[in-house]
Amino acid sequence: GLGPVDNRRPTDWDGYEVDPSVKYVVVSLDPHFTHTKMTEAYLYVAENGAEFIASDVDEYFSIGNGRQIPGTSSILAGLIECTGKLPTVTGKPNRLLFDIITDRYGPLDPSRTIMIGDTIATDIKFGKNCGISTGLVYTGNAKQSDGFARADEPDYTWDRLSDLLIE
Amino acid sequence: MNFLDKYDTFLFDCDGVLWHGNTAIEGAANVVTYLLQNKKTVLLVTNNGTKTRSILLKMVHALLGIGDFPSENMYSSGIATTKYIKRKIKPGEKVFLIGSPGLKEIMDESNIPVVGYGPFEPRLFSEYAATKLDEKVKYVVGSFDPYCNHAKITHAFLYIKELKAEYIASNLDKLYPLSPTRTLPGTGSILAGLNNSLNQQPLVIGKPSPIFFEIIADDFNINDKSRVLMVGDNLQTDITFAENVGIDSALVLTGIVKPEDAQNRSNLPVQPTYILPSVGNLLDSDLLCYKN
Repeated sequence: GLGPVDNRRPTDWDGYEVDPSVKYVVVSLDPHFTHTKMTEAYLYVAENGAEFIASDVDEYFSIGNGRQIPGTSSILAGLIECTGKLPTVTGKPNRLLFDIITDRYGPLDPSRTIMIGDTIATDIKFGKNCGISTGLVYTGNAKQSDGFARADEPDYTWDRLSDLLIE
Repeated sequence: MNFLDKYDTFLFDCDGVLWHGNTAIEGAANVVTYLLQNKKTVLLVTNNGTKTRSILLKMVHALLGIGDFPSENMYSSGIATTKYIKRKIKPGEKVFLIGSPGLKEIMDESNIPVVGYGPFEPRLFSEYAATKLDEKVKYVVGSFDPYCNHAKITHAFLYIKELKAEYIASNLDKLYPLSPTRTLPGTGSILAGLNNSLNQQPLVIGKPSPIFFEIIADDFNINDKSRVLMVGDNLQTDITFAENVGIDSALVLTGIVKPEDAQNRSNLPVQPTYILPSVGNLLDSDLLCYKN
């Protein structure tokens, strides 16, 4: 399913045989996501009982000059709607990535570890889920004017990453 | 009193009421013919946005044996959406269409300028930084579209978010029943990502939206709602539609709701005015037998 796929017309799915060996559907941000791919993924989940996994649930992808475009979560929304199932999310804010890192590199002292990112819902929540410090930069998704809920408050905020060197 | 005494305008859902796929439901042809002969207004009202008027007329001819059914009495959510836009769109304005070949044909017939329709070139994310939007696009219409992809959704997102285009959908059905053995993701699933990113739902024209009825009432000069009956098989679309509009409804048990589902009437999430085993019962002598 990776990369561009040919568009299928609805009638092409009549009698289409789903590959029974596909047991996992993995969703990430995909510029080649189409109704055809969504249908194939839907059939794997609905007819094969394939497990539904998402790399992340990012709502937007910032492409610079202030413009944002729909992110992975927009691709997931369609699959959640038609399958009626929620995916297992392996990416931030799930602490799985942190566990993989400490497995490979050994335990980290949480008091001397910081997660720096531009998105509260993923980066900052991830840091809090892992019990480490958090830093928010305003060069991507988050804007100063947005503010945040008390529980989401990062330990540090910077206009840009290089400001880290100034403090 | 019978149904013909009480009502002058009959709105029929199609699938599950008049026919199943390619087979007519028993009694359907008789009912429609009889109503037309008795000078009743008979309107077919389907949420399927992909079928053109000519395809629906062919189905009426082939399945019900009626060759002269008036084409202006045919309403799909695609036809209603097009009429809604036609009433509002100004000269020079355009529609960004996420839709099927059928809907494109209906819009072309109404001389509505459409962009975005059909196969859409995927974009690399970095390309969007330089994407220039067509300032003439004032409406984004969402409907069933087998060509829909991330690039099309992203363009629709930008038209609505940056150019403040009005966002309209023909319907939001999660699934599209291709055949009795296979369903595909439907319009609702196609548009879910766009709605999610916008944090906004579209204005839906199809049932159960009362806008669908406003368009019909306008076309047919319907002033007395007490003499209009909606006949359908779907509680969420047909019966809720009747409730939203303030007209009587008849639920038939030949489609989505089966006789066993209707056994305990108080369990139904929406209450129709009448419950009929099938559409043929509209010709029976006493409508009180079927009163819910």
